[in-house]
Amino acid sequence: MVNFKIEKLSFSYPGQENKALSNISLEINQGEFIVVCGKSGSGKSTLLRMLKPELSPKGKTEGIISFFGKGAEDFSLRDSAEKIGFLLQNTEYQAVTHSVRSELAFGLENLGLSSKLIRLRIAELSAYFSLEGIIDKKISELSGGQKQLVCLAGLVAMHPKVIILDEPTSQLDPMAAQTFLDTARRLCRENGMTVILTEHRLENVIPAADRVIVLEEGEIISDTSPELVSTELFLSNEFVNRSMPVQMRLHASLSLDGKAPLTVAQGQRMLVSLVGYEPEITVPEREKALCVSDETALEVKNLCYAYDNSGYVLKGLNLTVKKGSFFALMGANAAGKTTALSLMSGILESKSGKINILGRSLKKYKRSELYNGTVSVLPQKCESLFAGNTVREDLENILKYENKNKEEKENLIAEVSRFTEIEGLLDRHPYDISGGEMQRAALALVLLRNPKILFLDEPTKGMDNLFKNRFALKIKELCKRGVTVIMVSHDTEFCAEYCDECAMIFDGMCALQKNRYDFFAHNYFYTTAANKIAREIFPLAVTERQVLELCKANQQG
Amino acid sequence: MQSKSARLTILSVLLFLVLAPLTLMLSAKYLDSRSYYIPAVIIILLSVIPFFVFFENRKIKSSEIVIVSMMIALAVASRAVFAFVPQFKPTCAIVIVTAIAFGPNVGFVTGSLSMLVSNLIFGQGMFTPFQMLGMGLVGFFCGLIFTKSRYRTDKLIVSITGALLCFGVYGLIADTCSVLMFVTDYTRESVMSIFASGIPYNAIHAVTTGIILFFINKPMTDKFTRLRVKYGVFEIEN
Amino acid sequence: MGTGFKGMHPASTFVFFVFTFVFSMLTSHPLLLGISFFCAFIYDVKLRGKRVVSYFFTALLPLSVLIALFNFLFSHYGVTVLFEIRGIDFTLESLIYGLIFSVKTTATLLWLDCFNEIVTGDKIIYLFGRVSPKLALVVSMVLRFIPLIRAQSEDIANAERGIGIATESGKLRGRLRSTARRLSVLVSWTLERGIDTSDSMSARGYGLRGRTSYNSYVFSVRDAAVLILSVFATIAGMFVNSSLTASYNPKTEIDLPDAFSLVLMLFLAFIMLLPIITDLREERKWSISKLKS
Repeated sequence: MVNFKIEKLSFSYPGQENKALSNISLEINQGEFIVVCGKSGSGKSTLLRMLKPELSPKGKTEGIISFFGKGAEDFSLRDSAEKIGFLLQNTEYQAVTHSVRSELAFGLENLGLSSKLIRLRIAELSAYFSLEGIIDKKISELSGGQKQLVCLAGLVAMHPKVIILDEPTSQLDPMAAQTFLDTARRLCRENGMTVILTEHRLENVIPAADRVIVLEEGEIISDTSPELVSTELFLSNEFVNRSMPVQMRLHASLSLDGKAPLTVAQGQRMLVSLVGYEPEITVPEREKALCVSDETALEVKNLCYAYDNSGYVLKGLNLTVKKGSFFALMGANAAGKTTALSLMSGILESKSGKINILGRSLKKYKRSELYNGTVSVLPQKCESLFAGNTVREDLENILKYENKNKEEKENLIAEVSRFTEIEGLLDRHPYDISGGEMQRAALALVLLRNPKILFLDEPTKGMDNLFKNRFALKIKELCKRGVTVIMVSHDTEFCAEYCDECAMIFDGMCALQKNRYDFFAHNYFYTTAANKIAREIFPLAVTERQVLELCKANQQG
Repeated sequence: MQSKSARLTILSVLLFLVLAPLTLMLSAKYLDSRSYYIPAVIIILLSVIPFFVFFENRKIKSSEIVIVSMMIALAVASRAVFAFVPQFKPTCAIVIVTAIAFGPNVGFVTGSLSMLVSNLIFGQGMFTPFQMLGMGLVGFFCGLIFTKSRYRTDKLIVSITGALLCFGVYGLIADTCSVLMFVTDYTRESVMSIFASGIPYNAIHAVTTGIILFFINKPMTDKFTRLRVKYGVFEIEN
Repeated sequence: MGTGFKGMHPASTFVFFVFTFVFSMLTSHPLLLGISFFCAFIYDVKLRGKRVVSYFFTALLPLSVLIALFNFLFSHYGVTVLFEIRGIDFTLESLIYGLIFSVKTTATLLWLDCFNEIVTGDKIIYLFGRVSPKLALVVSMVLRFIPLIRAQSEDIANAERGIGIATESGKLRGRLRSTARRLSVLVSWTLERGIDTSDSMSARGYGLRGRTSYNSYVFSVRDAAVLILSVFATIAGMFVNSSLTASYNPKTEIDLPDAFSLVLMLFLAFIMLLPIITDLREERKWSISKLKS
């Protein structure tokens, strides 16, 4: 059965010249698992929203969309509510009611089902999604992953034919993201639901997909099976080049024939068939960190912290961070990473332990001195920084009480906005710009404080690989200027690629602190996909580039 | 639809007009125990119903229901933001700015529900119905006075009016509850002494509300205007 | 959900508490008030344990003294003058009635304490939803947003501290300005992201005709029994109250109960003890089934 049939669809937002979607023709059939990808601003979200009449943006539309064989006019809102489920990326704001039970019932109430029937559906759902442990909880007591799963369950309760997921895991940590995607896959495989999904973290979804649609500037540039995407587009398209899973990228960069490997296991086999089990060269070359000096920027000794009587979050943390380095603090959920960051940046006050910043005890800094030219923190949720009607207003507000004349302030703002590439956004409302742009604006705001040590809390959440790359280059540039950057992150790939040193918090202590290569090469689960693929053959290779170079070296030899 | 809603609202107003005096008469006649709390609560419930019926039956977009809920939640929860200025309670000020932006009916609902929910969290007390009516009426009057007035953006006028309403309407109604709880013999001096003892507290509440209003009226109005333009919410208030 | 009386249908528990409130507020007969006070007190202790004792001594008792004192000072009816100051009579009747009134208030507040324990937020939303589904939805949404807003205000405070623009001490004006900024950030954040909530609602068909409202409560025979008994008890209470005179003005006259009133009183006491009986029976059932297994 055909779910959607789109013919020559073009769309532009009111008041904008260029088309958000142009000339799209597409047919989506029942039971397909479709991944829609493309860099941010390529029209993914717009396309997805066009498939859900209640959420379709208003603007100039050309072409035809038919839903389940009906034209758009004949497809009522009730049909749409019953047949098409739509999940957004914002985990916090899409739950409507206060308890899990009422959240599951919400859609069914709207459809007018009786209490008895709703009770039955909830019972069924709670078994399928294993919600037994949380069914009587309040939404606010759930973790992000659980919230998103409950929202999905709330959609599935309505027995839709299609579920559309708009970057559903961008706010989740890797484990929760995996659980969520597994559930979505199961709905497709076991119950024949059509799943249409956009994602920025393609590693996990590509292997599960039946079809991958790549968008660029509102046009479909590829609509094919996952094995073929990378071979078709690898050289021509920067997004595909950067974002596909490592095994596929290796396959394409080595210009091998045949189908690309989709999973890590297939990647391992590919590597073995290429260089055998015992190649000659196995030690990869390492990039030297350029800007790290021998001076210590931050030293943490025996840091302990507890929020209340429920036990210590940190139990004697020790860390040393070199000046000018890009340092990553990693660890599982609730391991105390963010607490450590708050303590090191002086947001929280430590009760025991020592923190030295640039050779001086944190306690000896006055607040005005600490945050004016020494330390600055980029919070995880950038919304927490914007109050004004324009970005400029918020930037100016930061400098309001500093002893500088108007010209100096303007120059400072101009410089920072040039660096973060937000010059064009200064007169826009902070909530009219995209998430990525808002993050850059937040970085600008934080940099106005002219920090010597910059703290970042999970900055790569919700970024696609292209953007991560640009972001990392900016950070590296800061490091070159002598700024020490300390980041809390879950993102193994990003840390392995760009950080100078990594540390892992476990059990309230620092379990491991090493340079990025040694850090990841000795982990089994907590490591990069490139390392997982290559570990039997090149145990020390951590990044994709290293694996690639080793392969090439052995082939030539 | 609209006529049904109008009919129901008129019906509930009539119900109030008939039943409220009846309650008064009956309790005057049969209640020799001088406990007027229960009749008072009955009259309050009767007076609240028309507002709720009107809200229940008006057509309201999902974005509007979200905004109303959010403003109520802010009225209750933003106390956390005011941790460093103790004595300052933002609830009344937030109800007032909501009422000014979205009109008397939404104002009433915001006011009364924020008191209900606040008590839902901290435990219901004997004051609940009185607080609901009091705060609801503050919202209602502010909506009535300012929504269509050009003074809505005037910091000073809004904060003074807000403070006066907070003192006169909310304070008076909440203190009525104390009167009913304390007084058994309704002489002028006993009743007045209760109201007088409430004055310092109410005055602080009113003045702080006025000050908060002075600070937040402009930014809040800007934000609401933006929402109205961007999402087309609450275009017609009737 | 809860077991025992707490597990009963919200309508039944609500009507029960309406009965206790109305009865305690309307009666002035010391015997009837005593029954109400006693039942409320032991049930509250059953529900909340030791905390009730401290609640009683730190809040209820001072309040009672205050009420009695206030009444004694401001009411001057009655025939038995205790003493006279500057031509104002202080009477025994006003003292007694003051005490009666304070017991009345205390009993009501104790019942209210039980009410808060039994009739939880979910039940109030349900009851509200019977009258007005849309307002019940609003209340439920408000309860969703409150923890969210609290978490966000914490985030905002930390973000401000992290760039050193938080003014948390010093002059009031500075603190106020800082607070106003925080509120401004909070409101923008909440309202702007709220569009996602609204999208999520429309995507799930909010606004379609014929919305129902779901509840997970089942109305059993037991619930019906409690409901009907509570209604009967209200009527019986009114009847006893009007048949037994308890007057304090101009002089104290209190009827002793006749046989019929005594029977009704026993009935009322039984109803007021119903919650605790239900709970104790349930607990016994559990402990027996545990022993057996």
